[in-house]
Amino acid sequence: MENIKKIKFKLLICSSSFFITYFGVAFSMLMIKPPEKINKHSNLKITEKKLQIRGNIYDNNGYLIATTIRKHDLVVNPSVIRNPKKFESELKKIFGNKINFLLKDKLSSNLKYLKVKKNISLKDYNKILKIGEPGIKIEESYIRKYPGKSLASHIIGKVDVDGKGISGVEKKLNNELSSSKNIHLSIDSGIQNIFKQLLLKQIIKFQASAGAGIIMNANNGKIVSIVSLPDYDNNINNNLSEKQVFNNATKGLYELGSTLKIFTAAMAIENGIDNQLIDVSSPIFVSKSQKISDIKKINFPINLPEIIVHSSNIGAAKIASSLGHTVQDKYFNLLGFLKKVNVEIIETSLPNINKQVHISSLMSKSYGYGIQISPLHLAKATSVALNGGKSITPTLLKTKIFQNQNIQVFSNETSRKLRSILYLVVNDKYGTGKLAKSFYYPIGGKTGTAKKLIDGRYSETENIVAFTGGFPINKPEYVLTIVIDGPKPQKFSANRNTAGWVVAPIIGKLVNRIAPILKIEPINLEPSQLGLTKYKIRGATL
Amino acid sequence: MIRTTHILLFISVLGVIFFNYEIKINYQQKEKEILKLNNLISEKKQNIKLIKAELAYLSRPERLQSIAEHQLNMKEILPTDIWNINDISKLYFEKN
Repeated sequence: MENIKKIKFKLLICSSSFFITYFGVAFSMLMIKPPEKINKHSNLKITEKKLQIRGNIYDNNGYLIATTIRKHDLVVNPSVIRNPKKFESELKKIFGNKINFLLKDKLSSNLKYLKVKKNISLKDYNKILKIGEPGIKIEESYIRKYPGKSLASHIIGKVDVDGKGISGVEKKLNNELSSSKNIHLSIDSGIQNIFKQLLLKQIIKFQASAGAGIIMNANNGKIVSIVSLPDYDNNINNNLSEKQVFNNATKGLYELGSTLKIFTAAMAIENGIDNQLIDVSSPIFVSKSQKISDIKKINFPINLPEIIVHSSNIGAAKIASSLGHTVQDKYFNLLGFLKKVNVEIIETSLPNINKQVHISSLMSKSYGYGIQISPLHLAKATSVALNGGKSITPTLLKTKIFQNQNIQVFSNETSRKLRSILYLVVNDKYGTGKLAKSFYYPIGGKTGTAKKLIDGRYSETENIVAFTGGFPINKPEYVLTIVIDGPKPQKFSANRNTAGWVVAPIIGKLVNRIAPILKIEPINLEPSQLGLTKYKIRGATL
Repeated sequence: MIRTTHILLFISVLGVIFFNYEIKINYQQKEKEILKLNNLISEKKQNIKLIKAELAYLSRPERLQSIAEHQLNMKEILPTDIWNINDISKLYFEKN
């Protein structure tokens, strides 16, 4: 009996231990573990790839401007290749002769790493694997591509080898882009292309050295196009000259000459001195070496619209002297000439202004000398002058929320008077910008020809020519500013290289082509129906 | 009675254990599939990106313009060629 009891006891211990282990194992098998743990302990090498790929840049219409794509590079380890000769001939079968001719020597060497071909397709990779050599590897890398090539080179900028932005939007918005956010710009690729080609044609025609242009919405500051020539293909990294990379439109500083008379006129209207007649018959001698004179001699006293239409330096200087430094400085500050323009690219410049408190500085600034600003500064100031006097903040983003309220720089009435005067500059028979006229849209603007400052001296032959204006001038929606650097006199331009001959002719063409894209219908109104003041302009000789 | 219920309970526990085991294995497999599919998706997304870049390259304004100039027998568009739908309807009703 006791034996049986002992056996029963042993059996119980055995069976209970069996049950404990059995259920223990079963229980552990039943536990549902999170996936990471499964992978860590199993041999399966499936892990989720989580890469922060740089965001894309799109234009206003969703056209892809910049993107990051993956590429595969073929890499071999030559030290383990058994038959280099055969391997080379096999590679040539796949790639043709597009392969490095020194490959044979390199393949038989004792190198550990050799990049055979960049950017291969997966189809080719499978073929290579079938050769059956060991030491073939494929390397994955990411590359920034700009499908538009040189479409908007200076706006977009570039990235370095690590994919970090080094210029333009790529740098300014690097944080957003590197956290995979897509950027939508206000740029219109089609307009950008038209603008660039027209400007380039004119630069070649006049053998100029550089050019820049900006088209901007006059009411909300959204930039439609920025062109700076010469430009470059963003996909190419070497052999770029400094001149190509330099952004003339936002970083280049120029004395923009008579275009600044717009703001002198605005100041005069704001201060109520726009009704007096000014004598411009004799030059002003501000110092022994400096004299302010006009090209066209006008023997009778003229009013403000005539000063602008004939582009009289003497007139502008006399207005400035009656306004004084404080008024001029106040408006230059309000127009943003005293600071950098805050826009979504890093290449911006601080204007270079003659700060001397002297009558010669005051007078020369009134017609655009002694004040070096970028074309972007001018475009911004022109928008303020034309849009009813509201200050604006230029932006390259499609959607941007502005925190600060627009300041009223000029009154609405001042802006309307200015528009009437600028309309005459283009549409009056005595206007300096006659060639800018369009038959479909009323355009208004001001030309400016300035002598180029070379090594501290004003050149007698080299000019900087500019045009700034808006369309449709009765109710401006867009502002355009063009600057061309160093045009040479040509036979077809009657040996002239002034703004009226160089820049003005492309304005009308440009507006005719881009206005429909910007959804502005042609305006078939008589000049009297535009809601502008009609000023009578007298010729230089009565 | 108690004996039969115990046996039934034991069998049902075994059944539940087996069922649970099945679920676990299934779950693991699905996890792997999800990972594989996610990788495939990111792979395809990369390919789509490449194709989109190629499309943008082919439809860049500069290229389209030169093709249009050389292949199409058309004139440059003028602002007067663009018609408002209201103008067209007005014209239509005036004629009739």
